[in-house]
Amino acid sequence: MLVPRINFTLLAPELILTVAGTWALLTSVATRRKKPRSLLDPMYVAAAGCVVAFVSAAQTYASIPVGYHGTLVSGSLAVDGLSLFLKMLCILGTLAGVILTRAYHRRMYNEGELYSLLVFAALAMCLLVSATELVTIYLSLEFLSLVSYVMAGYLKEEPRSNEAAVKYFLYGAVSAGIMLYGMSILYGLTGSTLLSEIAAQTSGGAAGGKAVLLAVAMVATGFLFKIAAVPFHQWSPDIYEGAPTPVAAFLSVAPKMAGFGVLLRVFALLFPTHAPDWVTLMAWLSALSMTVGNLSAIPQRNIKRMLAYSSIAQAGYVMMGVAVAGPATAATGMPAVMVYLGMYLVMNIGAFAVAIAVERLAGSEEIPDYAGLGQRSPWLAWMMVVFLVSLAGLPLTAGFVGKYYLFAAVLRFHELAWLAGVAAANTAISVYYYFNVVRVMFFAPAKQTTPVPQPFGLRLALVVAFIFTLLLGIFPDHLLNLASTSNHVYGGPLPTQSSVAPPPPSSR
Amino acid sequence: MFVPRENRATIKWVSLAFSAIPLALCIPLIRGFLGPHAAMPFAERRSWIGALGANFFLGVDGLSLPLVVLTALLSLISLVYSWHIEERTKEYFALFLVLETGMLGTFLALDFFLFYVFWEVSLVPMYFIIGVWGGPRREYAAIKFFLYTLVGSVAMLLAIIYLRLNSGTFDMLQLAVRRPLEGQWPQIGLVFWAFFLAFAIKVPLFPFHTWLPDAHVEAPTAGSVILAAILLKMGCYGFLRVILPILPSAAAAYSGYIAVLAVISIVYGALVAMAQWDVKKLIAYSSVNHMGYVMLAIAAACAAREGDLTSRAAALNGAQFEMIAHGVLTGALFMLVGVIYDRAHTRDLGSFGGLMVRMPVYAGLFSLAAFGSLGLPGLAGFVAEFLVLVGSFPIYTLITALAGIGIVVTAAFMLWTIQRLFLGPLNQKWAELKDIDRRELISLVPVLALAVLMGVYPKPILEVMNVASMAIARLFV
Repeated sequence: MLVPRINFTLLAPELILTVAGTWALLTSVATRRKKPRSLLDPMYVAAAGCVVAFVSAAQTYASIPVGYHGTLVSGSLAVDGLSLFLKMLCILGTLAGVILTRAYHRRMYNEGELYSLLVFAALAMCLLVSATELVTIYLSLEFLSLVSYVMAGYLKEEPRSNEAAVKYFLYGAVSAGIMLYGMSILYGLTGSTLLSEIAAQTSGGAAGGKAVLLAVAMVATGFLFKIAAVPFHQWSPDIYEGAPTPVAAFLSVAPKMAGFGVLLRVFALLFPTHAPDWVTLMAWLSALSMTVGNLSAIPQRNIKRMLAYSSIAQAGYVMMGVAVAGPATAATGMPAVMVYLGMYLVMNIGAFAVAIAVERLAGSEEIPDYAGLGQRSPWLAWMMVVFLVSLAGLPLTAGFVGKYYLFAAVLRFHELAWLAGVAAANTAISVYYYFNVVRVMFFAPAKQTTPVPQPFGLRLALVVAFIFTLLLGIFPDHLLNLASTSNHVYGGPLPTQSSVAPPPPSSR
Repeated sequence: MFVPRENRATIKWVSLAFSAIPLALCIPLIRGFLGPHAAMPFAERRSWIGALGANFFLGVDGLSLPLVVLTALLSLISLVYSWHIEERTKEYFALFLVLETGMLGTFLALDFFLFYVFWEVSLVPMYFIIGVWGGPRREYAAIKFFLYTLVGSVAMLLAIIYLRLNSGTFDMLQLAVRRPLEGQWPQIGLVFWAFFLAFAIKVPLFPFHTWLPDAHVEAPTAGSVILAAILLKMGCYGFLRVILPILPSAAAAYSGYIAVLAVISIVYGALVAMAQWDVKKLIAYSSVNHMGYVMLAIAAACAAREGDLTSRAAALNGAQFEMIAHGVLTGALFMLVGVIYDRAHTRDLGSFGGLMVRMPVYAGLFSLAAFGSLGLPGLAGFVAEFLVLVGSFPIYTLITALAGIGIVVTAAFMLWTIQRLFLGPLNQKWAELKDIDRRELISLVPVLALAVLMGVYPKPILEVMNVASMAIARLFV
């Protein structure tokens, strides 16, 4: 039997992550009873692995021509703009998770293995965003889920953490089952597991019809579970609350980005014929996600639960972009989704980093214990203001540019203008609870005023997130151009320049 | 702000110096406008976000110049007035400068993206100024102010994006020339209502005014001054800069609604003000009344009715003049209320009386500002209201006649206020009150002097405004 020829340079990020994850696992076993040092410290191994993998993905991205797309491993993994762009984001999210875990004030049993799990999660996400074949999609999604279940339950002596892991597992198992069932129907209808093959089979309307729609909706269940969109969102507040905060920070960004990646890919490849049904479905789920997420976030007292509901709402905003990322309109929706995910990464990691810092400071996750933070540690409080303003989508921050892109993408289509209206109303709702935190931080008197020094890693993560939240809000050109030249997927429609933002007229 | 937080005096002087810069920069602008007029004599354009087509495009014309000068002047004066703030001084002065940046930027921006950014930038500092340094119900007032304005501005964002998608530009001057949505119903109607919501909440026009009394009453004195004198003008400015030039046919079609809401604001604002016993609340509602005149004039200028160029231009001149006059006079009134509240710690009209004896200078200044506000000839308010009524009467005869009720009621409550504060027997509780001090005089005298000057010799300001007014009025005849 012939071994398929594989271009290993294109697989470099995945290979690097495999090596780093294994290495981190081995070092954590070797140094279990000792205080780890430098090269043997799993945290440094994991962080270095992420950095090298990121650089390699970026290099691959820079070396391939715009519009390039190819496949690896018998067509089951794609190398294209979408996958490379999201790989970079997922790896960055993992790196943030690694740094924040070290900065977390609670020491966990077998902490070293947590770093290796994070790296393996990054590997799973890299595979997921490039998967172009049903079995690969299923395997990488399950890989990611299994790693996540373990991480959610990492505070072993904490009942809430155990509960989180079990809940996550049960919800995850059910949605994976539904997804697998949908996949088997698709295979039965078309006789292939390759997305491009399925698309070719169903585009003529020969096979399936409504059955294809149903099957793909079932497959999408698995993705919607990962991105915590309504109605598959109930797990996330409990899991974020119970899991160690750095793990919650990681879960709130990276797996969501991977979930959106695979959702975009499936959407962009399938359904030339069923596009209207799909657009309607996505638009409704988007409107529901943001409304349910924002309304449920209002009464929350625990910052992690509040951020969980907020991230459900954020997923709703991103789905506006997914709704207009179908085959005919990919040039509009896809860059908007990618830009927003990039913005979301920095601002949400920033908000969680503040939550970790306040946990060290006040020993609490309750919002009322943020009282007087504006006087106790003004820098921390003002950074939190910037992250929250950004999450709310107000100007001069990353979130505004992201939201602008999504609004512009949706307003292009008159029949979806209502969705932009819903999102605008939701922006106002979200300000209420985001600024509730600001209110507590600045308007309530401080209980204590002793500043608490924060570890270097945490300060680094905070400052980097802070700088990028502002930088991407004020000078977003670079990211916008990157996203608009990356909106091509293997087997999809030919890449076109983003039409959200036509080049400005050169003369006055 | 790299000054240590303990060093309060340095913080204050540095802020003062920074806010003096824009005022100093206004001088060449004013000189430029006294000569022959170009369409946009001062403009500056730099590319900003290429991928979005947003430019850093600022400019001054007859419409924005008076407001820019007003903003620079009142910001400086508010900082002087805030000299006594000793609690979290650094944050207060830093936020005030950010606020000034946002306000100036809104009036200067000629790129829609930039306009929106500055519009929102002015929002967050005011939220903090009300919420941290405000009165007893400050938290409620701060979030109410924020949410109300935000609902309007997200609607405006959608409208801006929609205009952009239909024209390919953010350039407000280009949009005013091309008017991309003209004749496209119902899209132009939706865009109109989105802008209307944003600006009407900011003005505020009845029934969107409910945030105003809360915000004005709870804000610290300087915050109330800025709110009344400048932030409300951002709404009126939006009508004049965006709705009338870019969406003229929608403005004409819906001008009747605006006029009706305006006259309700005038009469209702005046009547509610008369019922108030809290002086600050009274002045807050009188702002609703005065903004009603501005909106009435704007509605008259764009009305789809018979109306010659002269009356429309007169109405627009009146609207612009009222904006400045109200800014100056109400700013002064809020500072005067702050003076008495700092001393007596109450604003209840019923508890005062006979203060003329104890505080003669204060009484004189307060009466001057109040007379200006009720429209006494010789002061700025009269010129403004006269022009508004003269311009609007030929176009909306009945509605303008109804607005006359508002003038009578305004006169009544202003006179009653003066009577209750200064005349009658002196309440012995306040026998120890000191007259106005130097800091307060420095802030008040320039503003009131300007009010007198504008009332006696309005010609140069009106000439500057008239260029813009004629340009807009021509669209509707």
